Amino acid sequence: MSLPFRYPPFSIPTEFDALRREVREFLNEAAKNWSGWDLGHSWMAFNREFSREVGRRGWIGITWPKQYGGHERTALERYVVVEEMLAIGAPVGAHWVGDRQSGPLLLRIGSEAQKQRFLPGIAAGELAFCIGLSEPGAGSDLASIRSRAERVAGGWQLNGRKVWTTYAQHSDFMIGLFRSHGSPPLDVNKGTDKHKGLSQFLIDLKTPGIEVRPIRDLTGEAHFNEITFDDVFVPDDLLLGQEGEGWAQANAELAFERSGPDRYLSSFPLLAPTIDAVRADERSDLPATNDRLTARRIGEAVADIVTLREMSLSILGRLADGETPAQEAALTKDLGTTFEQRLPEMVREIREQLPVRDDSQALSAMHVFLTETTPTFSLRGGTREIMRGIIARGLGLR
Amino acid sequence: MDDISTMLRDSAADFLASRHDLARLKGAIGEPRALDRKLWREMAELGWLGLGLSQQFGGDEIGLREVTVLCEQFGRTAFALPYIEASLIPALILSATTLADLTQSLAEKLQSGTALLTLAWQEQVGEFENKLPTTHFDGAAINGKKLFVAAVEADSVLLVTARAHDELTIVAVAANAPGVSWRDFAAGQGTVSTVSFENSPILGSAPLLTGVAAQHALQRALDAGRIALSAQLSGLASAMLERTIKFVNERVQFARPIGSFQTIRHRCVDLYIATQLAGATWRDALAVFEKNNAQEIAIAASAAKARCADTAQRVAREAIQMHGAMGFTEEADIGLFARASLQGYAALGSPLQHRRRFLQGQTVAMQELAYG
Ligand SMILES: Cc1cc2nc3c(=O)[nH]c(=O)nc-3n(C[C@H](O)[C@H](O)[C@H](O)COP(=O)(O)OP(=O)(O)OC[C@H]3O[C@@H](n4cnc5c(N)ncnc54)[C@H](O)[C@@H]3O)c2cc1C
Repeated sequence: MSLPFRYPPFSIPTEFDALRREVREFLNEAAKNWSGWDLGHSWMAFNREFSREVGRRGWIGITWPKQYGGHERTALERYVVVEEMLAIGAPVGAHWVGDRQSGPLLLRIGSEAQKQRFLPGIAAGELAFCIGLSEPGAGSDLASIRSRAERVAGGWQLNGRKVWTTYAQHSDFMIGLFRSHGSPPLDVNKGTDKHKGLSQFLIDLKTPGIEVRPIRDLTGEAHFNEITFDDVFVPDDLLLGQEGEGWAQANAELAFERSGPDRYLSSFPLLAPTIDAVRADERSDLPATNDRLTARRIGEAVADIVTLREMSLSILGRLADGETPAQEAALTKDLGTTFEQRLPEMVREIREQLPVRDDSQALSAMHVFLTETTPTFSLRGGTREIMRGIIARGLGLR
Repeated sequence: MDDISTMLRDSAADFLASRHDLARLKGAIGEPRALDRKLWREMAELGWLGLGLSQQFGGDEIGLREVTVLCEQFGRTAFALPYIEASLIPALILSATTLADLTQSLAEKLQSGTALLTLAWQEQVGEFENKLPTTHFDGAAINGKKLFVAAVEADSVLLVTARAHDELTIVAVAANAPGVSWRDFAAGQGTVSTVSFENSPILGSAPLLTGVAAQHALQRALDAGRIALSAQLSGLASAMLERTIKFVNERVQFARPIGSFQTIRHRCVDLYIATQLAGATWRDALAVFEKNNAQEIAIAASAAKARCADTAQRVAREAIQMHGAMGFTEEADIGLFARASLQGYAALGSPLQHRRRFLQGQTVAMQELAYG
């Protein structure tokens, strides 16, 4: 059987070590202000001040043309920066979506005016974007969205609801997917193709008619939101790409979303303090924690992370060659999120870490936050079941 | 199920349906909160507090069996009050003491809900009761620190394990006694405290229990607590699965209820099998408990606690997965169940520790069989 999964080896040349050191030094200094609870958030933490500083250092929009505020460096350099940020658990949320997703999308399909208007702000860490795809009735079945865009003089009028929009309450713009003609068929077996007639819009979240309601979650905080659109006007020049081509555009956007280090490093900040704690126990010869089982579990985790990194880098190499390795990205996300979800469990088992939040101990607070949030890792960005559907198609299952 | 159990189950279900509102738990997730004393007193009126007290204290010989009936219902509704820690365990400790003015008055407080009683025993993460505590009793006062104590409030009476002449003792200390201080931490849906004692005088003139009697009482009470907690975790797991099945039948994606997708169906079946196995382990442990052999009880309680905690944890994770993003909201009750199972997972020993203890117990039992 010949399978379509290819992971050609690819590694980061040593010439970027200096950049890595520079980023790491900066982060080690900045980390002194972050609590364990903060570090557990990783790319779920929104901190504009931090993003501005990262922007000032030229680490957002690294690969973008200079004319749009970018730095014309390589995708590998971006990978190095991002990897360092996630490894320590830096609060990258305010520029994360813009740097990873919205910016690249604008570069590819945005109008010249749109690029000039938005990209420099994103690269400076000033403009925060959010992703408006999911709706109450359209999660895994994204193409069945109902929010509508109607033609009006000079632009479009939006009505409907988006939900689970991460950090909409703090963001400036949303790239939202709306139905600009046709309607979603109620029955897949009959009717029109629901993937047609979707369009993407750049939406200023301060526009009248938009209401953002933060949704509190299991951590006691509010990360995602419900947004209602009530006759919201969007001018013609903020339609993104082609009218009616939103589905293909949004899917290409998701390819950027599924194979990056954010899909296996979300719990990684736990690993170093855990190893430190085990070492400290060894010195104090506490029983049970310094046994061979513990060493093996940590060894397995490190082996997993190295493998995941190779896979992710390999995909990066193929993306850089202009390919779209969607199957590999889905496979890597599935493995990566499984790993991210297992790591807090491993820490719980080898450290007897309890679900008791003690903010005076960095490991405890970080662990509590991650234990509460890991269930979402296999939901956000497309669920595990949906990833597996994509992988199965790659195996030739129809 | 016998008559008393059926009656208790129905009365618990009624009470929980009318008096327990999950919405009340929302809004302050992740913050320590005070025990709902009004609800606690209502539980006293129903005669639930102090179940397990021996007859000498006016107990009615209602035992662990009945307590597990309640606890399973508590699990099924994600009820958040620390019944096991602040009723069952202190009742069993008191029952092992001799009747005296002090113990009589403590038993009355426990039963009436007028003051909270709670056991303070753990000093290190992951510790079991086979270790002599470092908290020290010098004949009049105690010094030391205890972790993960439930139900610590100004009027609580703490039953504290301590060392005196290299023997285990259990003493009663009022939370408002001199030198007692504590810090509250949010844990799952509830609150636990780290309690410090600095020259804190004990209640009464002598320990409640000393030496072998103290050891036996402590182990018996904690193992009973583990069995009851297993029933509660098993109730949590079953309720999460039922709620999830209801949800996947209602949630439509791709023009079909997601419960029609085979991967979802199979997962629900797997989880159902897991909940049945979990139920079997705690029922077995209960039967062993009633036969009164401490070593066999330890083995069976550990087996139950390991299995039920793992099962609740697994069902919680899969339930959230099947709920989609909705499962992560405070609004959807499933998350409260997940928080409760996290807490129950670790309380009174994690699955890994209980498997170790099970193995140790089995090894001893097998050696006795071989050489005995
Ligand atoms: C933390 C977090 C952040 C998010 N941020 C954003 C954001 O910024 N912007 C945005 O647009 N969205 C966001 N989302 C939404 C996310 O994309 C959706 O949660 C996801 O697509 C699943 O949709 P759903 O939640 O409606 O679940 P559903 O689609 O209802 O799925 C429920 C369950 O059914 C399963 N299922 C569905 N269809 C099938 C099938 N055909 N076969 C087998 N199983 C199936 C799913 O895998 C899942 O387990 C976020 C979600 C989370 C958890």
